[in-house]
Amino acid sequence: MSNPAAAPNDLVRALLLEHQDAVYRYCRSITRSDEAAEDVFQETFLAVLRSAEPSTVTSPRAWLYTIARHRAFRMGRRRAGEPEHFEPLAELGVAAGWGEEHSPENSAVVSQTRETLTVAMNTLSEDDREVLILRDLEELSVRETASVLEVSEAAVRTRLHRARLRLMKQLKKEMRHGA
Amino acid sequence: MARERNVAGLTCSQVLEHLSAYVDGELEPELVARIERHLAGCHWCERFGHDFNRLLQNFRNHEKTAPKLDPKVTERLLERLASEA
Repeated sequence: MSNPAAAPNDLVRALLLEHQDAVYRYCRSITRSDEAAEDVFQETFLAVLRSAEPSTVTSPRAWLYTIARHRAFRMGRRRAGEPEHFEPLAELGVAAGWGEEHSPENSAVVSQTRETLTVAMNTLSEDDREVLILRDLEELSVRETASVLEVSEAAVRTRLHRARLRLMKQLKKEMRHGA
Repeated sequence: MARERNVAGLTCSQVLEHLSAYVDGELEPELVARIERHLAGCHWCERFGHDFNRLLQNFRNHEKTAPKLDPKVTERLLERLASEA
């Protein structure tokens, strides 16, 4: 089916070939399933094909993540995490090891394997996971991350700091349980 | 923190609040200098900041090795794009 407002196919192909690994990785991160990630990935680029915007976007990768995020929501493929609850920053810091004497446990927390980090990530809320993925793994700027998440830059900074501390807290908890 | 200190005009809580912005290089030079003076004089914050930064480096490096896209998925998508264009 032809769409009169469709983006030129070669432009979509160029976007696909340049950003496919990053977009797939993002889809995999937000869906936590290979099958769902493939569905969202395909729907993302089909949506790009039907869009009139690609030639005007300033940050293609952030734009693709935004589309992928919307598609995942619409397809019911975005998994819910643990509900987030508010903790005072100092309390969160203490749970992450702030103010503790140095210990072998703390050393182990910062040198975990990918599998352990993935398990810890999967216990975090979707809000925490998304901001960690976009800022620390995909290395989007604060502005790009704010655009994808549709929140203010100040909110990105606050969420990111708390998400990093929660990841550290979770790793400490796993170290204690595994010890 | 039970042993909150005030070093270089900053409390440990204030350092904790700015820690991500500090490791991300987003702070004004004047505040960076004060945080660094605090870290030099407070071993609890220095250790925690060091561990926090190492965890982030480790996290970024490990996750970079995440599974990649199966080339067959790209092939199938290119076929669909061609048929829908």
